[in-house]
Amino acid sequence: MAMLDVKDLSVDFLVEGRKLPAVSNASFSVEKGEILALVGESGCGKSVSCMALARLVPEPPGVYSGGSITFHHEDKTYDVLSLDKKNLREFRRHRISYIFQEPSASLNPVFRVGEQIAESIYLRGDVEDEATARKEIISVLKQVGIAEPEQKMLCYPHELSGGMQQRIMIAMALASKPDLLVADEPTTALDVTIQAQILELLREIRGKSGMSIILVTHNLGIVADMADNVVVMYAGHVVECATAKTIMQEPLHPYTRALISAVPRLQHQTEKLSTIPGNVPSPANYPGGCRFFGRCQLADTLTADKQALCISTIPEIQEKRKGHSCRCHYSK
Amino acid sequence: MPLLKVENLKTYYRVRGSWFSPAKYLRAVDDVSFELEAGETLGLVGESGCGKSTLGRTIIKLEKQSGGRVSIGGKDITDLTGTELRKARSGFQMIFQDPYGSLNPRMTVFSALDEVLSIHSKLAAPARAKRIVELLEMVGLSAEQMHRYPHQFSGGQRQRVGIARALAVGPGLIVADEPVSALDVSVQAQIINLLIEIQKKTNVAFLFIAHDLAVVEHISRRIMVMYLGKIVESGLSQEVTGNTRHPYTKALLSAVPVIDPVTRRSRIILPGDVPSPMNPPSGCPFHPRCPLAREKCRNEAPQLLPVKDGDAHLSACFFHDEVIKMG
Repeated sequence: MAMLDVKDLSVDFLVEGRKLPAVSNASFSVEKGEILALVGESGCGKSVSCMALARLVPEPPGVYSGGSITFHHEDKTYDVLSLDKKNLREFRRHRISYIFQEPSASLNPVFRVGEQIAESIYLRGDVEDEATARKEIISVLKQVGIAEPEQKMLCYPHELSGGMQQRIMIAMALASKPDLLVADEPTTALDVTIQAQILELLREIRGKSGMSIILVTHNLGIVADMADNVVVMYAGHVVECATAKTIMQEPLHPYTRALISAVPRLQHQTEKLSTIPGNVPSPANYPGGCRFFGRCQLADTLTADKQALCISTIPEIQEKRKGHSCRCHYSK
Repeated sequence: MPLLKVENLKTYYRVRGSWFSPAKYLRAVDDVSFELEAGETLGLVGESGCGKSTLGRTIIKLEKQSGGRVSIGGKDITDLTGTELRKARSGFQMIFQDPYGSLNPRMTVFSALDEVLSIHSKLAAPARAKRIVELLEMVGLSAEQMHRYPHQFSGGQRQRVGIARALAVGPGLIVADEPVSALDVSVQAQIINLLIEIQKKTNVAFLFIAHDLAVVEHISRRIMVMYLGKIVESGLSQEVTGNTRHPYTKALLSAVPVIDPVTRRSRIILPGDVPSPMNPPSGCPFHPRCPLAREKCRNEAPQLLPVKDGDAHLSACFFHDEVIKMG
């Protein structure tokens, strides 16, 4: 039984009386201690899926229009989409933590970072006195690799660099001892050498504490480097799921293939990068059939009557090989 | 003769001291010299705050230099001002990172391009309109789209408009400051291909500033690596990435997450952050983070010198022979 099970999740946004689909029929699961990567381009619904895991998409304009999110902890089961206020609070407090792209926007500029970490320790509910909390702040700061934690906990966010701020965010997330850490583009705003430090840190934390991590990113290099399993999203659909190695070496879905070959690589002399023609469709004009149709190189090779199926019907996500599923009518 | 010649260029910012401490200088660009040929692409890489954008902006006189000389097409532009500078500007243009921020939201694409042409060319209105259609076609947009506003375009299309605007006056040099960093992977590839194609057609030279080494390597013939306001390594792309001669470049390369497990390198994780350019470290600016650092590096500042005599591959490291063995 997987720790987190998302089944047929759909999230829509009500905008000016219209229902715009952000995520449609997404299914994926996370095991204990697993790093799952959610990949896709901007607007594909990867962040909304993550926010939905703790029901953080604001309602309205968001609407959870279908599916289920089930979280297992020891012998307790949380059905996230139907939890009442009290249980939802408990779930958010103990089971799941988030870190976001822009650490400077997620930290409160008028409180010292130590106080902000203390907040997540107190919220856990098992620490009352200041001395214990202080000890714990220092230990969690050491865990995320901050030198001189006694001084650094007294700093305000603006006194720290971007990499240090992201470490503080991770420390806050760790302080609540969650089972699942959702990292939404945690290194996108950072330089490559700092990015390498932060990714190393996340890997280390997973190794030590057995925490599961959902890593949202658009960088396929990071996926290949970090993830056990990968979920590829396109225009609100999960289009492919498999282990990271399979996705990188034998991708099935034409979108995944195109995406991988569009990445420039070091010391690969190629005259021209392969591109995906056109743009991602906007949720207001999703096509009735396959949402990748029109940009799809596989569809271009098909005869018109075969293409008719792509245009008319949204493909189901099917397990094409063991542990490798793909949402395409024709890929094998 | 090179198209662009930069000699000992310096850009310092004065940071006001208090009553009791004297004013300090932030050395954003510190004694940089290089050349760029017509039709060539030179990549400039480095982490945020290393001075790469300031260098680009100083070259095309969007920032005031504190010393050194810049000449473009054999003409010294260092001391130009007013009308003369405005005239010279048709020889060098810029593409910005954020296509959302660099286009006026209240001007259609047509009026944005028309403004550039009416300032820099003597064309009459019908000739300008014809030129605008040509430009849009060159960057892969259609003539019907020219009366739209920036918000009606996607990010990639907006960047195409930015490129068309830079190309409008037929410059010999374009400084492209992180032109693809804000774009998605599939769109990024479209724009990179477009820039390469445009260069073949117009023989424009690019100074391509970016932090993504793979992108820079793909588009550039030569690469310069910058750290704390100084060039630490420069040379042909394959040389810099394949026969690296500076520990900082080596660390940057090893930090790039790669897709193929076959080429995955062992990672050199640099400790700490980039020091503040207000108080650069003594000696070699990289020594506090460098795995090869020793006594000499703390005391003496290395010069950017050829790796071998007469070689075009330059490195500012005393121990560049040892870099090959790293990692």
